[in-house]
Amino acid sequence: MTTLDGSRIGIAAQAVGSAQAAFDVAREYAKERRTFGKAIGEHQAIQFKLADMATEIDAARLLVYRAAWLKQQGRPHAEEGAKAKLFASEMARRQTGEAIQILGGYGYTKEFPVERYYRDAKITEIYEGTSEIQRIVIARSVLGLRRHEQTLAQG
Amino acid sequence: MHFELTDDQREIQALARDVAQAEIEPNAAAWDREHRFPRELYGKLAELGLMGVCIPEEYGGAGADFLSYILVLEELSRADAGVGVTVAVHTSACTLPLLTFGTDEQRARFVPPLARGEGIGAFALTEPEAGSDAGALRTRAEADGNGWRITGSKQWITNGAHASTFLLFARTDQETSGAKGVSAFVLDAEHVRVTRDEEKLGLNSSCTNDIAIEGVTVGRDRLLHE
Repeated sequence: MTTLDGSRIGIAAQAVGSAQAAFDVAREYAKERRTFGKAIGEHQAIQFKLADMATEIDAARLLVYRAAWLKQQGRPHAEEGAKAKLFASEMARRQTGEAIQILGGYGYTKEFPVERYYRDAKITEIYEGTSEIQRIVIARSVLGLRRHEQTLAQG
Repeated sequence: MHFELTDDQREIQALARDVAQAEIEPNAAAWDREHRFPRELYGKLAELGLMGVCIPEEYGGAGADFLSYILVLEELSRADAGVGVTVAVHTSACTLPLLTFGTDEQRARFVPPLARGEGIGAFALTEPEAGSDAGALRTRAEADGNGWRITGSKQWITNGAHASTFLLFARTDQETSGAKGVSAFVLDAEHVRVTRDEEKLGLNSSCTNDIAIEGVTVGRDRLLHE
């Protein structure tokens, strides 16, 4: 059952989508919301958060696209798919959380959608193979160890 | 190295982004709050070919490449990750394995209705005591005349209550433990009873169900060979 390497790439794409949505809201909010006489996007604390979000989203997206490209070329992609899923899901959980932080109290309410993105992102670290399973797949690949027979749930 | 999407990939990405902005994003908060599975949306996505993006046209799909499909998932998820996972499970975990591992007859029979979005696909592997350790699964398939008799229960089945087709895993070799004695079967909605709706932290516009398979007999043509 090595049938499911492709579906974890899809979940990684889902995670990137949630993180991008959170970034979009956080960026607009940072331009509008003013504290201490200026837009919060002019405070370096917020600038650094947005810079990290943009960088990590890009990194995750490139991992996802590479894994998808390898798959459609018919080339091995188990390690690359696992890396994409691991990084994109953990990134999405982290950065949707940062989006809430940028919005402060408003981010925690349902007045803005970022709390939904945060709740939606968490599962990507669990289904189609948990982050722990992805690390096992990656570690076995980089160490050249035989793939365990039990690969069903690795998605 | 090429870091540009092709024109075709960009076109389908824009198509997905447009439908996501028009039909999904304005409703996503309400679907989340009401825990509502937007069944009618999937008919609209089907009309645009988005329920079978990377399935060949001869099997009812849009005939685009796998990266195009990934771009679509990203755009749908950007509006509502619950829609993203519904389409992801339908495509990656049900339609594509059927296309890849089905016999010619199984592909011709089961893939086109899914790729055209006439039905929704589900993937039924997880059980209460078999998650990451999928080899521990207990659902049984026993040879019965010209077919298989399947008994067991599954949990956390995405799309369970709305699926027309289930890719369901059962142990065909009761003597062998682990993943080796496990096979995949193609079941219809009528073979499955939905027993529970899961309450979740998020993805509330997607549905997650427990299902029971209660001594259902299916033909040998329902066994998927891998």
